[in-house]
Amino acid sequence: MDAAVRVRAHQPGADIALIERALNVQDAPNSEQFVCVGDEIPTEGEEGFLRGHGTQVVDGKLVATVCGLVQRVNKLIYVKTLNSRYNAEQGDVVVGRVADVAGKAWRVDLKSRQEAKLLLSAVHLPGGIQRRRNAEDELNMRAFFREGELISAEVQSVHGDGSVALHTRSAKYGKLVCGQLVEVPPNLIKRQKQHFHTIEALGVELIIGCNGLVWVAPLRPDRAAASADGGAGAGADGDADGAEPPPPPPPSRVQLEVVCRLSNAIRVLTRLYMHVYPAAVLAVYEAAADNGVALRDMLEPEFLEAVAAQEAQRRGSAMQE
Amino acid sequence: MRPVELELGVIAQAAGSARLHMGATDVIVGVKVEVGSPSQGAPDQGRLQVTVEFSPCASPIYQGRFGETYGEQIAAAIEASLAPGGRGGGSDASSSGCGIDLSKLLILRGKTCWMVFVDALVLNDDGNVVTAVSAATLAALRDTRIPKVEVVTDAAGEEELELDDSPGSAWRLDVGGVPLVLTASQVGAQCVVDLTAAEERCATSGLHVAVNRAGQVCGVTMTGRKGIDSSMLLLMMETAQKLGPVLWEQLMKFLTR
Repeated sequence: MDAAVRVRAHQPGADIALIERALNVQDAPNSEQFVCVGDEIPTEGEEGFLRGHGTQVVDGKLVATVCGLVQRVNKLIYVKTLNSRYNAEQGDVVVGRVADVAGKAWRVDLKSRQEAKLLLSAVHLPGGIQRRRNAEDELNMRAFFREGELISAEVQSVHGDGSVALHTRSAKYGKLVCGQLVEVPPNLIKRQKQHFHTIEALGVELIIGCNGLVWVAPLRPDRAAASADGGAGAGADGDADGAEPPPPPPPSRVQLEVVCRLSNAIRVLTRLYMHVYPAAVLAVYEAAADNGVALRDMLEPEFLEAVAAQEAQRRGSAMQE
Repeated sequence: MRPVELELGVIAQAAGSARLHMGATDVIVGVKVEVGSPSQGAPDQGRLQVTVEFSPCASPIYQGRFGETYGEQIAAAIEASLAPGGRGGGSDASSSGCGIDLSKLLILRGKTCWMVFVDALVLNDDGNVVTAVSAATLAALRDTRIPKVEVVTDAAGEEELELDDSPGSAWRLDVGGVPLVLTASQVGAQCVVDLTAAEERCATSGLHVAVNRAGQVCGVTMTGRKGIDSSMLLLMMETAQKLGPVLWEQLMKFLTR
């Protein structure tokens, strides 16, 4: 085997240099629209503008308070940062970890500014859909979700003070076991129609949480059926939840490798600061699989350059059309 | 193992320094040499002291003084691997291939010697900190330049030290016997090395094994709350003994190019 360990010189800024080379862009941060903390935002010719997030008026001049891109929407001027915490919106599919069980709710950590609440009344109870939650249900909350478990849920509502309420009122939401979690900056996740993806060909399921947590797991037969229903089965899963689903068989080595390769593909996209969505992830996966890139080499500069070059080519041809 | 990225000479005021990245784990080691007096018990040897500090920005769990005990444990493990003192056989360190030859740090028997202070700072903890600090220490020691000192007897018969400051006359320590500390951990029923911080939380127990370039074990410390049974123990030692020389070779190849 070639060296189990690789030792090389540290090059700070290597990633950025790599991206700049591939996209043929030099000194990108020096462009006009990019500002740093304290930079003045030019406002000539604009009167009566509205000052938005990330700006402040200092000595009569508009100054940026964060690093990012200046965005102008009609009369609104604000600075959009490249890395920010997740801001929940109604209807978002999220993946979170149960931090606490308290009162009639679970507190779920979404890697956002606040923990979200999953009320007991917002989950499916076994043995009937609409049943009044009694004291016994409250005491048995840990039978559903314990502290430290991963769950997928949907944002039910966002209140004025920023607190988020979640619900798992569908067969496709619930506890996530036996898979890999990849953390991605939330800015790289676009809101799409579907966040649950079942890739039959590879035998994996992919859940892209809007809060930046992406879940990759080998496909389990019962969950495949549930997600194929499209989540319409509010009544159909009464049976499945009533009886404890049998523990899934341990995944085979081939399945594990596929899951790892997909996770690494997501990590590659994160390193190159590219949007994470199934087509992109699969493209990177195929590029790695076709060229026989070993799992551990996927995060090496050579493969990153290849992916960046591929993306540059794709953008070039897209612009020409 | 994750690829290791090294930078030497990052601290200009230190005699030697190295910064090591292993994935997201980031440690920096500085070596300082000072003239001092040898200890009572070993009058013909220099002294070596290792301190390991965890910066609070390494991980939220290290805020306050939590990192101190962990730092002291790692420092003790590394100091023991570099300078196996104690009773008997201490001065034979380098020839037996287990540490630094402290007798080379002697200037005047019983009166003056070089004191080597190794200070490690963990800037980011993404697992496998002990190996990272150990490897960075090796690199920093290799990078260390100790000024040449001559003992001159002046007119009054007193012995005086003349320090030769010119960079060309500085000498380097022989790091041929310095062992590397590798951590083999048990996760489920498997023995794994180089865990990230998230993976470390799944490990039930682990063994820090100091291995020299010849694959010999120079020190063992156990970590974790669960006991290790003998077959796993053997597997852990063997894994560390196999990986140690490989890591050593790769590091030296980089350091001597």
